[in-house]
Parts: sequence; structure tokens; C-alpha cells
Amino acid sequence: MVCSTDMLDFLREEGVSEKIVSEIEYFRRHYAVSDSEKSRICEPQFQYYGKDIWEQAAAAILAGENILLDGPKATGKNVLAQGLSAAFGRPSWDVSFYINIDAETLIGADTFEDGAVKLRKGPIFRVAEEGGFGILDEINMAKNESLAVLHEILDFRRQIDVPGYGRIALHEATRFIGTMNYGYAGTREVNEALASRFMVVRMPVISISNLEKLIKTQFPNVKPEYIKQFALLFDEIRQKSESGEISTKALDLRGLLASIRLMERGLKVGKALELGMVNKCFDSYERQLVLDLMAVRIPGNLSAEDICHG
Amino acid sequence: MDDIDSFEKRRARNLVWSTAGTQDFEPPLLVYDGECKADLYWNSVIGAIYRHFDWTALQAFYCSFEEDRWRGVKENLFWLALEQAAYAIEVKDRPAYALLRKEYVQKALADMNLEKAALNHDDSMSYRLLLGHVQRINAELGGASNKFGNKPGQHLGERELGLLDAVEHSTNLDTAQIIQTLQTAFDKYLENRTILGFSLKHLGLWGPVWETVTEDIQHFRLPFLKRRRAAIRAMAFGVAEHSFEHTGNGHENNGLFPQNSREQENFWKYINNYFGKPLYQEQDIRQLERRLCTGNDTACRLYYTRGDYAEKLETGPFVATHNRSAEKALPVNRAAYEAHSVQYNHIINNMVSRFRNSLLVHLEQQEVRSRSGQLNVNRIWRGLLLEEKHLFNRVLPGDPGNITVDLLLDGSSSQSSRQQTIAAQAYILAESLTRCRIPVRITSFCSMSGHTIMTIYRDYDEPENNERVFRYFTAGGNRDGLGVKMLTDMMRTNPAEHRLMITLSDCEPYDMIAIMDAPNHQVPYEGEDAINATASEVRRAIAEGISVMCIFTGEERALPAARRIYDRHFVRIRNLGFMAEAVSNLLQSVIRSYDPGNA
Repeated sequence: MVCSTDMLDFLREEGVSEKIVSEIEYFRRHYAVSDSEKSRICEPQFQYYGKDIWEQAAAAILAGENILLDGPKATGKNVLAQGLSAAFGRPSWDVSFYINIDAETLIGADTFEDGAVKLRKGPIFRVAEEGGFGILDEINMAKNESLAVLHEILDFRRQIDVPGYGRIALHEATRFIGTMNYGYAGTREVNEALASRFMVVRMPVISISNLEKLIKTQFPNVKPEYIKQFALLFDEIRQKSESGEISTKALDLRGLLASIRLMERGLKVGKALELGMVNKCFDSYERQLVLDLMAVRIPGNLSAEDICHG
Repeated sequence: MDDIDSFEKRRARNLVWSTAGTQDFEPPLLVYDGECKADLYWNSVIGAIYRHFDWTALQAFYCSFEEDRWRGVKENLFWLALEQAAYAIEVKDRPAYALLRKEYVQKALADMNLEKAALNHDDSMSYRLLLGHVQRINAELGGASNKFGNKPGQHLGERELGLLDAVEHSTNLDTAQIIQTLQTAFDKYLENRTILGFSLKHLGLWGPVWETVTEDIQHFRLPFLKRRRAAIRAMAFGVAEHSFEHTGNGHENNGLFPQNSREQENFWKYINNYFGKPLYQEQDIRQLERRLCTGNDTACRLYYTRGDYAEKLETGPFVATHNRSAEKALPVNRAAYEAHSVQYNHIINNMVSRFRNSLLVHLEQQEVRSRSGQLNVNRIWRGLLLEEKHLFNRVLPGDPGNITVDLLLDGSSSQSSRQQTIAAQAYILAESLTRCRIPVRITSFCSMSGHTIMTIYRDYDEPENNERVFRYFTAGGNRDGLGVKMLTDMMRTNPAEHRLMITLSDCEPYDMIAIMDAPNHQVPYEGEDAINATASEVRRAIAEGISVMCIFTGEERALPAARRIYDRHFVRIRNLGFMAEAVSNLLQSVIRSYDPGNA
């Protein structure tokens, strides 16, 4: 876990422009966070590596814009969104746009408390009230009813109409960070009206060196030569997935990191990778291709002693 | 060797591509073990060779062994030398390589035997050289002694030891140096042998003749018995498939394609008059061919049409033989439909209600009691007196998202006896789905003279064009795999959440153009191979998130093929009366899989 003050040091290490970092510091000083919401400030488990993307996203947020992170699977969209929340020191609310999310879920609905009907505030309401960061995951899965809410909150007027409770203005620090995987099976076309309400950041595929950096940070005990092999294996799975030979099921960065965690706990490398990545392919052909990639990259019978420093 | 299935071929290719770091080339060599399984170590070595050396120069050198009487030995030595060289580079980046090589060597030593090594012919010499090679590696890796003794290469003669040394010296050399080293060794040990103390060179022009005669006598082989070696052949280290020895892209040799520009022009006129005006310009078609006519369909060409004809048809020899076939089929198909229109309308109504029910039952909105939502005034007392929290009704919506359906009709002549039935089935399906406001596209495919022709009768946004499916007619063969591939490609640009492909097929794929994976063995596009090729394309479509199902229109004998291609996602309709039930059951299963409640 990285606390939000460390985030600025991290950004400096990444080479993010000092001007942007100092403006983030000013933003944090200027917009206080209520004590009750401090626990909502993200403490990201992973860091997003990529100076350019950090600069683009941070600059857009500083300029008062909402951002849409567009990229394929395992490009770190959610990691960056959480990182931004931590760097700017804002409480965040995650909304995953699965098919049943409706306006009431987003804004709020009536509930009964202490013998009276009250508004139970939804995540968007809370973001607006507290000046938080709303992380709108898979925004291109949103159905029309939710899209209407999004259009309203992302509009330049920066206010929400809550039926029966009036209109509330968005806190000045409120920002929304959408994520989407354009072209992912089962998603909708993002219409112009929605796209125009965001600054769109195209998320690049994580480079091998950044992936190595990520693994090294998470697992400082793993020997550099094996960190490199894990990163290369992941990249090869990505290439297979991009070429359509396999689906994206095995392209699971969290799965890779979880596998390395299992290795540290004593599981053999091959078995750990099977649990974290290979077994996510239910098709026997895909499974075999991923196993082949592993076999020519990392000896499966290695143990924690082989891959970690003593 | 003919038993290598497409699964293992794809595995082998992917192993080569992974190590090569690119997929933009056809692997020059694929290696399989004795059980025709992709060889993990050798295929990744081939990838490493491609990655680190100049394959163009190597291929030219390799092809120079053609017609050489030592071809087998030279080919084996060539690959052993490159394995040695590529391993030395690749192991620095892949720690797994040391283990893989060790496992490979140990397995080779366990499988090899001295009896085979003792035989006296070219293949045995290659075998002995491989044995010497793996023995030396085993010794380097500190491997245990084995049944061949502790001293590597003790079964080798002086000449063979010299050749093996050349192989082992290929480490740290570049492409030109490897070629030079091998050439020198070949010249020294394979060409320049002496007879009765004289170098063959001393015999002048008669030398090569004498050499050939004596070697052929020695091996009981006469020149007229020599045969061209197959692209897939046994090497000392495994069964190797030489993709670069396959006969080009097949366009020029099989006699099925127009042979010159005049024939090509006449053929296009013919196909234009027969199936309709082309949908795309020639350069766009070529681009599509480059993308789609790969793998099993390397030798094929494509043609897309909406089935509309030019007002004035093309003229020329033979081009008028089948002109305006779709227009001729239209009244016939429509009349057949009209003759049973009462029954068919009943089926459509039945199907519409079933489809709607499928959507409603599985995706209907559910009203549940909740702690928030719309206040249920009848329950307020429970909150006040019983402190119950669930005083609200909340609607959990069921949203099917947008579903599109693509109908793909097998338009081959094997369906000619069922032409009117298939047109009616397609119309009933399209009309039922249209009434449920589900966008439908109707296409058919068939193959003719090496071209797979895709006719698009009605697109998603043309609900008024369902009747165009009555233009359906049958001709030529059916390359089902390519048909599915073409439609999958068209569906890629469809942004719908749920894409469903329904094929109407007899599951007996057949085409004149052979599968170009192994043309020297000429695998015809029929039977098992064609079924595997089709199943493979269906699998690819599914991997892209498309649900594929089949309305099986064929005979009993093709049922196992239908099962192989579509798994359980097919229905056989013996009677149109059962179509509504059968198809809606299939559709229900697909819709159910979209239901988040079942996720």
C-alpha cells in the first residue's frame, strides 16, 4: 500500500514535471477532506508506471476536466484511477457499470430510517457532495438510463437534479474518471455526447520495463532475471491475445502478481502460474498455448528458493 | 506423418512465433515428435533461429541441397548447427532453455538405439550424427552416463566426427560464418571422397558420375528410383514440415484458377453475371484476401456481392451460361413459400412469441423488496412496529443489451434439392427476428473456381428486405471454414453487445482447393480435414465473443461432423413445423447465457 503523501515522491521519481507535482500539492492543500471521508482516499496496492500518462491525466484534472481512460485489458486503467485519487488526496467512489446499474443506484433512492423516509445517497451524490473522485468503471457498459445521469453530472453546469430533493451543485474538487475497453465484446458504442464530456487518455500497453518495475516493487525478493522472465511471459501472452490466437482470459496482470505471491508462499512456479493465469482459460487449446509459452520461458519446477534471494 | 492434426500445427506455429517475437511470417520449419505432437524445444529453437539469423540467406543455402545426394545428411546437419548457435544466444534470455535442452537430450538418448545407428545409409548417418551431438551436449551438461557409453561420439567414424565438429563450432558465428563453416565441412567430408586412393577430383568430368553410380549401388538405389522429398518428412530429430517447400500459394499450379488476364477477365464477367455485381473494388478484395486467405485457405480467393445485377450484363465467351441466377431463383422460392404460406405464417407467429418470451422470461424486470427504492405504503406499519427495513420496492431491470443475428446459408450445390426449403427457413427466421426488433443480416456462401462467394441478401438496418432471401440459389462447393471466417470478419465491426451467428448447413464441407498446409501431400478440403478446418474457424469466432449455432439441414451421416463443428449448439430440423421450437430453444440457451443472473 502507498499512502497519498508518498504518491508525490513516486511521481517525482517517475519524472513527472515538477510544475504538475507542485500544482497537485496546491490542490491538496486548497481542498480539505472531511475527517469522515479520509478513509476513502485510495491507498493503491499497485503503482502505475508511465510519466507521460501521469502528466496527461494530472494536467487534465488540474484543469478541471473529467478524464476517460481508454485501453485494452491489463493496461492499468483502474490502477491509474486509484493512483490519481491518492495523488490528489481525494476520497473516491467506484461505480462499476454492469447492466443493472440505474439512475437510483447512482444518485440515490428513498429509504426508511428512524420512522421517516430519507434519501439514501448514491455514490455519485456522495462524490458531488464531498468533492471526491468518481471512478466510473467500464463506462461503455452503461445502459441508457445511467447514461442520462452521466450526461448531467459531467455537463459544464456541474450540478445534479435529485427528484424530490432539489438540485445540488458539484463540489469544486469533484472529478470523474471513466475507464473503458473500446471494442471489448459486449460493450456499447460511446456516443459523441458522452465522449465530449471527457478528456480521453489512450492507455498504452504496459512496457516490459515498467512491468518489471511493478513486479520488483511488489516482490523485492525476486531475482531480477526471473522478474524479467515474468514480464516477458506476460508480454508474450499479450501478443498471442492481440493476434487472436487466444482470448484475453490469461492476460491477467493481477493473476500474475497473485501467482508470484503464491510462489513466495512456497508453491512451485508452474503450479502458481497455472492457478493465477493458465486455469483462467477454459478452452483446452488456449490452455495448451499458454502452457507452451510458460514452458519455453520459465522452468515450471522452480521453487521460491530458486527465484528469490535468500 | 499425415496424422498431424490442425491443433498441433497451430501449437507448433505459435511456439515458433513466440520465440521469434513476431507473427508476421510463416514458420520455415515445424517439428513434431514421433507421436505427431508439436515439439516444444525444437519449434522454439526454430523461432530463435528466425530471430537471430538471416533466414533469407539460410533458406537459399538450404535450398541448394535440393537434388544433392547427401541432401538428408546436409539438412540434418544444417538444423543441428543452427540449433547449437541459436541455443547459445537464446539461453541468455531464457533460463528455461537450459532445462528444455537437457530434457530434450535425455529423451533423445533414451529413445535412440545403436541398432538403428549401425545401419548403413544416409538416414542412419544423420541419426549417428544426432546421437553424437546429443551425447556431447549431455556430457557438457554433466548428464549421467547412458547406454551409449561415457565417451561421446565413440560410434562415429572420422568423417562423421569432422562433420559434427563443424556443427559444434557454429556457436558465436553469424549467418554468413555458419554457412561458410557448414559448406567447408560438406566440401571436405561429403563431396571430396576418394576411391582406391584417388580423389574423385582426379577423375575429372567422370568424377561426379562415378560417385553417383557407386553411391547408388552402395545404397541399392538407382537414379530412376529417386523421388522428390515431401515437405513433411522424417528428420533425425523429428518429423519436420518445411513450409517454404510447399508449392507457393497454389494460385498458379492447380489449374482451377484463370491462368491469364484474359481468362481472369472472362471469369469475372462470368461470376458477375452469375452471382451479381462485386461489392468491393479489386484492390479492396486483394486486401481482404491477404487478411482472410491464410492458413487452411491460403490458396483461395474471395468475391462479395449483394446479389444485384447490372442492367446490362457482361458479354463474352461462356459468360452467359448462368446469368441472373438469383433473379431466376426468386419466383421459384417465393412460389414454394406461398404454397405453404399459412403454415409458415403460423410458424413465424409461434417463433415470434417464443423469442419474445425468451427475452421476457430470462430478462424480465423483477420487483423485489428493498431497503431503498419506491416506498411501499402498505408496509410502513411494519417499519414502525416491527422495525423492518425492507419497506421499498425496487425494480431490477433485465436488459438484453442489443442482440444481432447473422444468418449464414450454405449455398453449395449439395443443397440444391433443399433450395426452396432453406430459403423458406431463412425467411421465417429473419422475419421472426425482425418482428422482435432484433437486427438480422442474411448471407450465403459457396465456392467456385477457387473463389468463395459471399452474397449479402439483407443487412442489419434493412428490415424491409427479408424477402431478398428468396434470391437464394445453390452452386459450386462449400468451404464452410472460409465462409465462417468471412462472416466473422464482417461481424468484427458490429458493436452489438451480443452477436449471434446462425449457420444453415449440411456440415459436409467440400471444396476443390486443397488445404495448403501440406500441398505436397495435397490434403483435400473434404472429410475430416475440412471438418477440422471449419471447427477451427467456429472456435475462433467464439473466441471473439460471437455465439455460433447451426441449423443442421443435412443427412444422418453428417451428424457427427455437426457435433464436432458446433459442439452441442446445433439443431436438426426434420420438419419445418418443429423449427420454431428447436430454434427458440437454442436462442433461449444463448439469451440465458447473457442473463446476468446466470453469470
